[in-house]
Amino acid sequence: MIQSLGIGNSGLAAAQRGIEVVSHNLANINTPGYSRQRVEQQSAFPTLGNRSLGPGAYGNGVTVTGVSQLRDALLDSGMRSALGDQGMSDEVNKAMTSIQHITGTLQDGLSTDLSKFWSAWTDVAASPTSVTARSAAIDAGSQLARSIRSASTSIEALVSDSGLRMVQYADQATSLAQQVASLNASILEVSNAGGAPNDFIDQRNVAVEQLSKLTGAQVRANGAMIDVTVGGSILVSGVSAEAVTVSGSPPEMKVNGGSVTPGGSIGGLQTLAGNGVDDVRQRLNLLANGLRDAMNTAHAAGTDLNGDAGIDFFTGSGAADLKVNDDLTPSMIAASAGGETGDANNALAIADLRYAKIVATPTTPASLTLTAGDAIADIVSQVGQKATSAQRSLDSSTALVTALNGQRSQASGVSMDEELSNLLQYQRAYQAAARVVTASDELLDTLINHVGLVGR
Amino acid sequence: MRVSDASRFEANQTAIQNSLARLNSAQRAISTGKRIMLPSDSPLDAAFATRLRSQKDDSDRHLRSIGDAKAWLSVQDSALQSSSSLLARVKELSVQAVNASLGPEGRDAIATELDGIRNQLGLLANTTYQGQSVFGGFSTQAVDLTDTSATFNGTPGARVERRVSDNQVIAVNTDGNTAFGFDTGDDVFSVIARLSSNIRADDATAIAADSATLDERATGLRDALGVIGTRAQLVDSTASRHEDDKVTIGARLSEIEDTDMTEAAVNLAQASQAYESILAMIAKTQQTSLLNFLH
Repeated sequence: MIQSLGIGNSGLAAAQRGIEVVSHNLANINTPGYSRQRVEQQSAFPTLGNRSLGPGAYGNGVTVTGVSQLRDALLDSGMRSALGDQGMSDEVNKAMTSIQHITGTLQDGLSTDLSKFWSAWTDVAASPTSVTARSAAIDAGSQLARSIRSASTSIEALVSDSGLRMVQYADQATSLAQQVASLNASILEVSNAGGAPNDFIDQRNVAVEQLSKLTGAQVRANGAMIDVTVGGSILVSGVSAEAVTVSGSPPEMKVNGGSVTPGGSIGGLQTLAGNGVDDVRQRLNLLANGLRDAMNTAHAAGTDLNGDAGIDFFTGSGAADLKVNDDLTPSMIAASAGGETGDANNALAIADLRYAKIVATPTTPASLTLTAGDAIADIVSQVGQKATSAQRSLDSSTALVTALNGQRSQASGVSMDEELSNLLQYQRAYQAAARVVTASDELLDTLINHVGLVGR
Repeated sequence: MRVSDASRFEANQTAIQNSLARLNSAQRAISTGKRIMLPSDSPLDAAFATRLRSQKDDSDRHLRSIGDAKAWLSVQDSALQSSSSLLARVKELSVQAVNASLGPEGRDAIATELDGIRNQLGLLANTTYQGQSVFGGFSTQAVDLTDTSATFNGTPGARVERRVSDNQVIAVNTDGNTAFGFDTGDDVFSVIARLSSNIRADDATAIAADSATLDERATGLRDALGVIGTRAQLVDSTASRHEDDKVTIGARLSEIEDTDMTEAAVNLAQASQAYESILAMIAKTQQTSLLNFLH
């Protein structure tokens, strides 16, 4: 009878533990990275008096063996690499979307400026002595140069901004690595004490996933702890974490001072700050230099209103500082081919540069194979393709992350209905166990207070 | 399949976001009227549209040049027409001058009219358009005319050119040196001056010779007129070709860049219906849980 009181008591304890775990699950229903937990219980070792086993042994109640976590390690590792891809393509996509604006809108941009420039020279050819037409040609040249310059500025801003953001992300990665190391320490301590470090493991998982998204970090087991590596270099080893830094030009991510090849957001930014936009930058420079050289040669072949040969029309050494020569005044526009002021054949020749192949391509920088208009159209399609492919890889990695997240939620997420029904189950179990205790109590009452009263 | 609350919420959010993105792009297509706004909307079409647009700009540019060329040509046309009529009058007068019944006063009157015609012809030869001589090449004055002499002041053989299409450049001026016979060494002004003095002197043989020379000079003017007529025709047909091109290019551009409104309206209706259904579905299912039935 005393035994059944004990058995009832074990049932009460197990049900209570179950209710505690249900409460914990419900309380964490919205906690990011939380994996639902379950009470593991089994029937207690059967005994018969002092003997542990043998004929006539009977059950001894219930034992709680632990609180387990329902998580899928395979999904976790898939998630880490998907997050790394997502982090990288997200950065590249953001950059490429913004770089698209360098050519202006399709309807009004670099290409329009170029058309207006040629048109201004046609006007000079029509009225070679008109100061208005000559000023307009200088203005159209300035506008064209300004548009090319601002495209170049946008690209350089993107590159330097990428470098700055790498530094910020590196600081975040360092603090996340320290977090992982300190959680490793806690987990080791709890496991050594025989406990279940479930919630620490959840927290560590969240930190590692953020690290993966930032740097493309990989994980390998180290007993109860984990080690984190980036590009083959150890970032976290057990309870110690290295620092993530960014240095050099172009900026590179370093772990403990050594260069690594990062993935994730930092990897994406490192590419952008390195050679990710080289092609567009080079095309812009070739456009600027092609225009400058062709214009200056054509302009020098003519004679201005003062009877002098044309001076350089454009100055600068690339897209970054292309501009119309500061010394150029309207009367110094060399419109005349033969020297007479009424002669505008050089202006006509300059307007005809519209048809001339004056720009080189990055693959054959030595030979001029493109007209300026085609070079701009090529830049438009280049940045468009870059943006499209960045968007595509972001879409696919995001879809993967979403899918893995869904699978993980299915396995590890808390379901309110499920927990509530578990709650009912444990509540009923508790009530039943309490009834067993009451029954035992009544039996004892009978035995102690009502047995052996005959003849009193 | 086990469903957790988190997975339901995530699925709902993804559904709302995807549906909103579709709705947004359908709305954008209609409100902007453009199918592609940024190169990434369709890189190849974007590059193609950029090239088409610059072709259209070229056509506009050529049409402006053509307008200018037409003005040049018509100014010369009227000047040369007038010059031809004047020469016809000179011819008439030279015939009258050999009439025996004409006295010295009569001949003098004819000679004076001829001098006047010579001056008028000088003004016509110095016709300018926008400050530039149309017969003098690059100079502002074609003929330097005094009572006794006439010299060509322009640039012989100069071509004032206009680009009228991608592969066509035409000269819009007429070389006064040939049109007025300076290249023969016996220009129309000298002939008239000589004619005038021969009439005063009543030298019938010389008058007849001058009259014959005059016919040759008139041929020179007519030739110049013919060239101008041919050019004007060429310019006109080129202009109408550019107008046609602009329409074709515009249609092609619109095909590439513009929204097909019917299709866009259908897309918008679909997207907005899908969005509403998703919201309704979420509103309905999220209200219910086991909590509704526990007491």
